Amino acid sequence: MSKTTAAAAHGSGDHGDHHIVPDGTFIQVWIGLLILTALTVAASVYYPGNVGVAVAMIVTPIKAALILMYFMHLKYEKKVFVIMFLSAMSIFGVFLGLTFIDYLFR
Amino acid sequence: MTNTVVLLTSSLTMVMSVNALQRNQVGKSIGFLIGTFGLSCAFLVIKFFEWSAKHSHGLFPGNEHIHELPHGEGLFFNLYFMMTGLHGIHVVIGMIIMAVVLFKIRSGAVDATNFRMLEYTGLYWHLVDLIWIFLLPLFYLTN
Repeated sequence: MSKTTAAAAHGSGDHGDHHIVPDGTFIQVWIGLLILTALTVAASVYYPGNVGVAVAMIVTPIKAALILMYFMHLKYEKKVFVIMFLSAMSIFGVFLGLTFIDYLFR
Repeated sequence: MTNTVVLLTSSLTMVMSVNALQRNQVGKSIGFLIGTFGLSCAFLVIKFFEWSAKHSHGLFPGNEHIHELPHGEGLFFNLYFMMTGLHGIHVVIGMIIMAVVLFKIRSGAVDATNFRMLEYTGLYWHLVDLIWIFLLPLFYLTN
């Protein structure tokens, strides 16, 4: 009962009205993104080749998740939007993966 | 690399702009939006120099030189120009939308009670940023 009313209240309201995130959170996310970028670049400079690519392939989705969750406030949205976005991203991931495979085996 | 920092920062200023407008801090919101616009200008300027450098090496789309490169390299540069070019077009579209929203905030058509247009502009802009994050390892960190 309480669960449904909570869901209804969350669903009926316009997003953003409920969650005004403090500026500090965004600054922290931004710093995190910069650190992760530095990490990826450093890995590709000091360990060019497989290790660098592996680090990029692990860190980049984490960066994407940070942007999606906080900047695009997906964290505060209904689950259905998360699912929609993830399905679109997985299709994109397939194309990216195929591109990589094509590139690697030429 | 520089461009990644520029674009990530522009995403931050964009989100700050939306946040400020939601709190009815119109001046701050406009300031951050102008900041975002400025950073996207900087992004394109850096991109221009990057493409110029490629161009001076005879690397540009449709050039014979690209076709003479060994197979993988030709593909790489064609993909590079296609993807960064498409991304660049999205940056320009984003800037146009930002300018429109900016005037709407100024005129009061977009404000704390009706901030949706700015919010969606922000979402679009973060998507442009998001795509760039994937382009960085794909084109700049592979050897």
